Amino acid sequence: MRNGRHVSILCTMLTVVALVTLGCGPQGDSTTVKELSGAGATFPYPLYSKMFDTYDGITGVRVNYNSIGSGGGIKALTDKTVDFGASDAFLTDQEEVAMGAPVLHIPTCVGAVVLSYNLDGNPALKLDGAVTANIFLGKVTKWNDPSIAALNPGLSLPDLAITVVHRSDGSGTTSIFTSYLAAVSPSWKSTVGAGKSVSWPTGVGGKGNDGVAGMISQTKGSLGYIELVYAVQSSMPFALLKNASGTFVTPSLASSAAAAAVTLPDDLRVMIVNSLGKDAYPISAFTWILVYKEQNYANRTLAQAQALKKLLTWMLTDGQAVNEALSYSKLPAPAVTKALALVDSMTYGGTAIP
Amino acid sequence: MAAQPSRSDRRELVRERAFTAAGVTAAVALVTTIVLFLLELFVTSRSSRAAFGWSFLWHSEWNPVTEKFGALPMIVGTLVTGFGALLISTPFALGIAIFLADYAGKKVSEPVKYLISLLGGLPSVIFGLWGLFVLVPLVSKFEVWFGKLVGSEALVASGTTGVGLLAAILLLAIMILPFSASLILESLLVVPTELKEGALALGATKWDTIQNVELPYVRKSTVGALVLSLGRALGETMAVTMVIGNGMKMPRSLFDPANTLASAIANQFLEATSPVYIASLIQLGLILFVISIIINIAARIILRRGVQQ
Amino acid sequence: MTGRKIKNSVMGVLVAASAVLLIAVLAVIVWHIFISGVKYLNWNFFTKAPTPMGESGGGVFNAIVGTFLITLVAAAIGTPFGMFAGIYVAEHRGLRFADIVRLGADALQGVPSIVIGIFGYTFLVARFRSYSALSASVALAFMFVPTTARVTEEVLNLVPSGLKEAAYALGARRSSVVWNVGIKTAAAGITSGLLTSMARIAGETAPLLFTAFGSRYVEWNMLRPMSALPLQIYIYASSPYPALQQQAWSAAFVLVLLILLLQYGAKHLIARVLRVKA
Repeated sequence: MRNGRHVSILCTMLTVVALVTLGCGPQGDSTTVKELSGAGATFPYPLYSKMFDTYDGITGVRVNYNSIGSGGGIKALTDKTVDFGASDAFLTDQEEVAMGAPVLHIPTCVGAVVLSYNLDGNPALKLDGAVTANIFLGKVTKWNDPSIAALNPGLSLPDLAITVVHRSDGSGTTSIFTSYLAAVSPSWKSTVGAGKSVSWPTGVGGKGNDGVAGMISQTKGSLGYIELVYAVQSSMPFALLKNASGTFVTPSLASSAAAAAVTLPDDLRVMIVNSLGKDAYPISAFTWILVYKEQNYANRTLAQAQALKKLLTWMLTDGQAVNEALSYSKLPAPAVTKALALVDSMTYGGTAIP
Repeated sequence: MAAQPSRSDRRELVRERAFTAAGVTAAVALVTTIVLFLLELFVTSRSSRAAFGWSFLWHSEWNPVTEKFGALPMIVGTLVTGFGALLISTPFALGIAIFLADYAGKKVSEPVKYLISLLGGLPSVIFGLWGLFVLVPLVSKFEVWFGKLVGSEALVASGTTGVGLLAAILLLAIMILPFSASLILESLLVVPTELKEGALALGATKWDTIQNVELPYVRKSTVGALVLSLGRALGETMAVTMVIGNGMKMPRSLFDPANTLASAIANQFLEATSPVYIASLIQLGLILFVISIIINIAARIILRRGVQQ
Repeated sequence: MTGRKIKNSVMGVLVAASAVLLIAVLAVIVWHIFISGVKYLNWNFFTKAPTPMGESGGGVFNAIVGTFLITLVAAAIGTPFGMFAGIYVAEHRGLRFADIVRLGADALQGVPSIVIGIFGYTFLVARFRSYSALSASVALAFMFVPTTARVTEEVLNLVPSGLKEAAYALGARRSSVVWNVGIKTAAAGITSGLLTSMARIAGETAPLLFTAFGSRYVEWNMLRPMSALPLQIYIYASSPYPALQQQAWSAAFVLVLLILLLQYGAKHLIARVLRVKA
């Protein structure tokens, strides 16, 4: 009856594995928190993954960040399954209500959404708000459309259909982009509107900034919107865009920072698309980390709240050094001051977090 | 010795009881699980039913901005990909099963059977990976060629991506092929040899025998096998999610990007924020769950009848 | 040649062709995984966690650890339920409840994996307010139990009834008959069933999306978010970075290898049962 041993050996092994892994449980004492978790926007993901890697190196605190989209970040914070959410769109009134408690919007950087395309020979393309809106409305369908040609004298564009690529998931990048289209095109505002996910009149969907970037790079004749850093890192071309003061601007660190040079409200919930500055790139936006103002919820410990506060403070100060290396604009100084004030306003059990 | 139960007897009695209890517990737990699933899905999707009622099933707008949700595009996507895949894979599945049952010798059939089980055991995400990087570019080429053939500019344009219903159907067809082939083979193998030999002795060709004796004999179990395969195709998630293009609109051609019930959930569940949106996604899951339970039970009943026959 | 004979040969060619086609498709898929997978394998791939986005180097050690832990714990949770449910059904053949249990196992086996993912989220993650590897294991256990139950039942049915009857005739109780006669003869078969079920859940992605959630770090704590190979393949495959897409292929290669190993083990053991029976 040698065979009888198989089952008993296997069962014993499985039980041991189960006990060992479960026994590991939450490690260490409660005074030092070595792990934080966050989820949300894909827009700042390259920045956060570098920041958190650096932070791990300095402090030994591991921050696990999953880029599942801004909608996902808001949902995760609402369900209290993470320490912080991340979003490129500030909370809607309805989302604030769902949160059940006040939430702080801490900006971490200024980013730009670029229009990336896939055309033979990578011609330098110029677009403006009205034409972009018409393409995404499905009214302009060919690359050699007269309205595109008018913006690009001297460029011979092919008789090729434009494949619009958009996000299939709820996304802050979409929110920024559609806010821009709504700001420049009345017909976009009335038929589609702005939001994290909208009902697209045309095109195919890709998941995440990376999904859209992937789809553009695989598809001849495509046009889609992605975060600047994704375009830079995967060497994809992007269009110059005419801003509110009538100049064609290349998306860049400087031009998106220029868009943020406006008077900011204290809660930092502000859209800076179609900014009026002469050098401002029109599709620029803050991206935020979202945390509950009152940190004593769902059995959280003071140590967790402290670890979170330390992380946020670091991201706004030393951590900002990471920004420019990765094509994200640093926060303008006034924004940093206001953001630090927000972080300091976090409480645990009603009192400030030491 | 008979008056006092021995120690080992008593131990045996305890073990007997524990054993029965464990068996009953496990059996009850298994059945309870299904009820639990149904309840959990039903309860968490309430607010969607409150908002849309039955119209959820036939409304074709899925709009998170205005919070209008209708499942029709996903239901259509699920049915088209499922039946499309079944249609394509069935003749091949039958061919393979007949080949293995009646033509191949042991030396050929054993390795082929092993390969089939290998193909059937590959995870969905691996089919998705292959589909995305190998099949989708091929489909894209085909779409462009086909578009030029029929003179449709729209097709030439959409063909530039390759993702869509057609890619999903082809990938699904490959994925369910090993499953349906091995199920059909199983039923073919139980056809009594006397029946076959009898027909051959009467001067029938091999194919005559297959057509007139074997296939009628396994008709019911083949239908059962196909229904079971359909159930698989309808619920398949990852591979489809990766190649179907995630379009939320009602697809108008086989080349359009679309969504199935499963792929819509995989794509949107983590980021849905408003309660109605989440509930509507869970409602999609509930529809899928009910469909797959019905299909599975139906298929098993057909299969069992086929065997009893 | 008569029409019938022509038809006979034509159909013969057709069925053989469909078998060839199947083999060709399989060969193409396996070839792609093998060629693309092996090309980018290196030592870092097995020993390092991923580097920050856009930096080179790094591997999928986090996902390898995750796949092992999540699969083993799922098997540990699911084995007793699956095995005892299987034994119950095999030993109470003809009983109405046993039929219901068997039908239940079949139905549960047919539940789409994404639905199990939703359930894992609403039932565990949302309730305990944390994504965790453990919730992923529980979700996978729901897939593990029915497979194991069915295989256990099937294997027990293979046990020669003469053996059991002899034992009953000697006055043995049901538990000891099942345990000493049934299980021991069928032990290798049941283990083989467990391995098959493990091979099945090790490649599952959909139930992990909303439960295990993924982590860039090598994580050993089952109560924290964790990565797994299928999850990593899905995420990397849809990324625009060629380096990550290549890693997706390599991860696919490793996953397929792991699954083949489990299946090989299962097949080997089944062969042994059949030999014992003979």
